[in-house]
Amino acid sequence: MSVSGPPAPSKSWTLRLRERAVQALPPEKLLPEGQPTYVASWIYVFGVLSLSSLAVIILSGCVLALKGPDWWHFTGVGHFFNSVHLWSVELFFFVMVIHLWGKYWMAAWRGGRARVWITGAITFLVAIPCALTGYVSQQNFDSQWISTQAKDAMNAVGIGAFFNLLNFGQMYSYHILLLPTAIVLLVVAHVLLVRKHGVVPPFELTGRLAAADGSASGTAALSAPPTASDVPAPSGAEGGVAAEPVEPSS
Amino acid sequence: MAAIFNLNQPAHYVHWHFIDVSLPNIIVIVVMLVVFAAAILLPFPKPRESGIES
Repeated sequence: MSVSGPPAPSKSWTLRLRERAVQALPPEKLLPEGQPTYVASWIYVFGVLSLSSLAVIILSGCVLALKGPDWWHFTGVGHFFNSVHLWSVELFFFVMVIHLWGKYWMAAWRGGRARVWITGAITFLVAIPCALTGYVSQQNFDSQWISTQAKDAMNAVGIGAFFNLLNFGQMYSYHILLLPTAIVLLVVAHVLLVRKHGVVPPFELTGRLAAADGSASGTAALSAPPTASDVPAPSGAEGGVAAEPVEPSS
Repeated sequence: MAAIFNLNQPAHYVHWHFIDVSLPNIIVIVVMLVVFAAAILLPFPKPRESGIES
């Protein structure tokens, strides 16, 4: 008969949560000091441009929410912040769609990055009603026209019973609280997942990584950015992408 | 911009089969395609030497 030792002390939920968080996203992945060299392409800039425009949207939106419709319609500074909010939204969609195109054509869901792709795509879909509720919250004839047109669209697709686009209070709540909260949470998850899995390598580099890693674990090599030992000797760059080891950012 | 273009009128629309899109929207879509192509084709500037060995 064997004698077992004293039972291991149970870990608190905070300790378990911390251990899981650090295991999933260690500090060197959360805040890396460098990026792979293949990130040195303009097409990789549009993600951070989307984040920048989102920050301007949120800041200008906070100012508008503090001051109210009378201020943004009838004062010069109010007009300015109203315009900043509008044009940062236009810019947000402009760069986000190019970011989406870029990631689609480089199949950014490769190497276990499905959740990165999904959170990005859902963010785009949630951003559309967030913009729509903003247009109908302007408190002018433009918003009246848009809300009546959008009401017909909602009724046509069978969800008109859940949303009343002519109800300013409901639309304003959606616009400044519910949908922005969803977008911010999705964006945070998206960025953390990018940190965890690394930026997706281009196709040419994918082939080299798979060849370097051998046929047995070629796919596994895609789950993290390449390091110097992962990449064979480069034979030249193609499409602005250099197959070189990781370098620190300046 | 308003001094150059008369914005106090309905936008011009392009009709082609089932496609019905305003001229401003077409311009934005074309500019997006141009920026997308430029982002792929234009060389990215190399970082300046910082002199810090890592």
